[in-house]
Amino acid sequence: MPMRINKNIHRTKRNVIIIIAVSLLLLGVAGTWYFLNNSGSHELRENAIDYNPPTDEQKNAGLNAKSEFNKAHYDTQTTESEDSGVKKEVGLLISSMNQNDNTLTIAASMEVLDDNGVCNLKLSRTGFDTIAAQVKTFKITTYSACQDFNVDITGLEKGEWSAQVDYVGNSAKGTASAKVVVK
Amino acid sequence: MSRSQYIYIYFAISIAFISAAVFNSAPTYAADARQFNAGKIIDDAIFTNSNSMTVQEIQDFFNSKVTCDTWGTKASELGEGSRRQWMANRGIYPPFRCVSDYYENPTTGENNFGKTTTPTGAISAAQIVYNYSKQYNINPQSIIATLQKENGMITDQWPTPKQFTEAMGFGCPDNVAPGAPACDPAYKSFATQVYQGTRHFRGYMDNQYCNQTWCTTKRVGQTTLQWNPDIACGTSSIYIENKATSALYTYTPYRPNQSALNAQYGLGDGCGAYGNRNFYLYFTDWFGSTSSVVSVTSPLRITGGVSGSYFTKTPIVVSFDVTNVANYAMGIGSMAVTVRDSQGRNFDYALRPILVPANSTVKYESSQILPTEGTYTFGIVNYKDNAWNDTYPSSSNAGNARSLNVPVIAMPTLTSNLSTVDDLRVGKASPVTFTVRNNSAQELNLGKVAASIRGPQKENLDLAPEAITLTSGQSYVYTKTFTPGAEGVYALSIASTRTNGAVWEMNYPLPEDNIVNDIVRTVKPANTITSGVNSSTADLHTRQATQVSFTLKNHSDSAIDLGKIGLMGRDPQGHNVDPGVVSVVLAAGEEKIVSFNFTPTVVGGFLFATLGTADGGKNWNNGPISESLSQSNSIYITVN
Repeated sequence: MPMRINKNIHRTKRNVIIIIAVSLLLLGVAGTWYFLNNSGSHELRENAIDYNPPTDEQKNAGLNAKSEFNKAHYDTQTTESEDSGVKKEVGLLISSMNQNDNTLTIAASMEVLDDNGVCNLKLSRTGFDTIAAQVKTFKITTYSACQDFNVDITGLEKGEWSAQVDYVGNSAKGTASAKVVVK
Repeated sequence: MSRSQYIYIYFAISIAFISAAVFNSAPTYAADARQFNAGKIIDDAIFTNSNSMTVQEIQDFFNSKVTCDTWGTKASELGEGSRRQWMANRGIYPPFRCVSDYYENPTTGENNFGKTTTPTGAISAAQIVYNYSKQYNINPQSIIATLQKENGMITDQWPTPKQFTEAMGFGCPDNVAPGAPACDPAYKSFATQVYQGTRHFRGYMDNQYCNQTWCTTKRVGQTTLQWNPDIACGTSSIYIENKATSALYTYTPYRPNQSALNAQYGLGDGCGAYGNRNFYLYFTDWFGSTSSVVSVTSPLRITGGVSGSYFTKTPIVVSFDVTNVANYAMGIGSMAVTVRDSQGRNFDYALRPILVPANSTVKYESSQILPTEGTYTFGIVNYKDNAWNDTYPSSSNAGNARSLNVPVIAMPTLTSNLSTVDDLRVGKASPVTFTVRNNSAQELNLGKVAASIRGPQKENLDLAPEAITLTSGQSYVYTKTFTPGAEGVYALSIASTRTNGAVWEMNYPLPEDNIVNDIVRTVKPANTITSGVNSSTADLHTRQATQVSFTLKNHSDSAIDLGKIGLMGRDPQGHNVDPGVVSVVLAAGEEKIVSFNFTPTVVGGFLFATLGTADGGKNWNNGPISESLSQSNSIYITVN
């Protein structure tokens, strides 16, 4: 009999402990939930400076950029290649064609640094006179652009026209074409 | 307790503390490149928030991201033995400098790379970033993310000198023409790179065109972007939503393809481009979201004026909406509307702390009276962390105005009371008058001004409006006549319209001190008894003739046919002794005595009272009313 009494006391103590343990767990979860829903620290989302050391991913991406950079600037000879007199063909992109009232603005850029080149635009359509315009180039951060072609389209036949832009620089050239709908 | 019981408790407490510690620590925000929004890489307000970091914070940030391998003792990640050896193979010798300990004289470009001393006039990289950030109002965090995405400068423990002198990649084309240098030598210093890069970010945002003086190629709107410097990789057409994104694409004109985005910080396929992706990733990981969860979702509204015009002496109300799309509340500091007059004087509206509940919109609204005539500039502004910012929170719609120039006109005033005669009569025209004055230094079209009248049944009896244009300081006297059609209480006020009647204003022009712009009048009848019923004989005896009379007056401007008017008479026994009736027609303004003869036959009290009929005698009433209580329409005569 005494043994049974001891067992019951033992079981009661264990139950109390389990209740305390579960209560503590619930308290922790509830506290967390409350914090996540009420804490002002969420404000950090919009301007939170991370002072932790960079992650491996961040460092590796930086190392890739460093590697590419130094390969181009220390380990390749592009700066020393000689001008053979043949113009290098570079990519030319007609990046936008916007029509505002009676002006058609065509923008183009090319993959070379050059602010002494020229860009020629031909706007053509079968059965109509070709419209031509010329602008100079302009250096951007790492490439160049043709200054905007602003074409007065007053009286121009509505419908689809072909736009061709040719770039010619001292050492490079490029060409691009696109369709443009005059409204 | 047993050992196992202690273990239970220890375990439970540990779980509770660990869970709280894990979840309650400052949230970390691992960027996901797949969330990259090609049309809006970063909000304008965030890209241009030059108040985001102090010099010390920039320095602390640099220190946290790199521990410089000053002597190159560690193994080179690029091969060739140690880092020192790799450098030496290219003619570069220690001490090496990192962004955290690099100093440069911005004027001369002289720096401390390879030196143990700091050149005269040299300032830290952090100071250089900070200075140009402030000069061009670009977020230093945008500059830092650019430095890292260009050549890994921020995390690099052994950057080369060229990484500094071409730090922002400014002037370094992806394709180099034969014979051309890899980078434009005009920009060959760290300070010049940061200066030019930052200046161009600002320039690209502010100048959405390309001509002889400036060129922004990727403008807000529909544009075509290459996937990669290799044009063979093709292009994509996207809509650039804001100026910051326009600046980033103009700076680095490639859009990351899906393989680049799926790779997170890694490499995608052969057509991947990483500059703008890495800018997004680094910015997000290091400084938080590139898009605001809180934004201004309405234009700056200015109301409270008079039909779209604003005047002194009357409240001008400003308001705008701030919306939080996050599922948690956001405190954004305080908001206000700044107001400056043409001399730059401050008339700011109240600064109010703004806490936007989760998924909610709050409205900032404030009102004040501006004291003097002039053109004022109104603008939405935020105050947070001891700094003012006129771009935060950003606007959800680029077309929503955040700043407005508003002319405020000196309020025209009412300089004399709205007035009319006290004795308004039915049918009698009376003047209604008031005076307004233009207090503006300019000629002012006041619109139309009128006396507004509401009759006893609230009926509209407004007098004709007058269109008034007054030169500076000129006054105008409004005078109209009002002829009431019925008795009763009338409310008179001044009404005006600047919209040709679409909207009527009740406090414009504004009354000056002690001047009234509304009055109430009781209109009396056109005809009254102006002298009550009376007997010509004071001490009357039986068989003595007397005259009982009263006086009627027509107060109106036209003749009135009163029909039959008479006197009712009753002897002491109540027998009818009516003296008679007469037909009465009163000319305009005429006052007439109506008189009847009476000879009593018995002693006692006799009652006489006025009679009238409007239907030829079918129904009788008491006749005209008395002008006042002292003018009674009845009399009691005692016959002796």
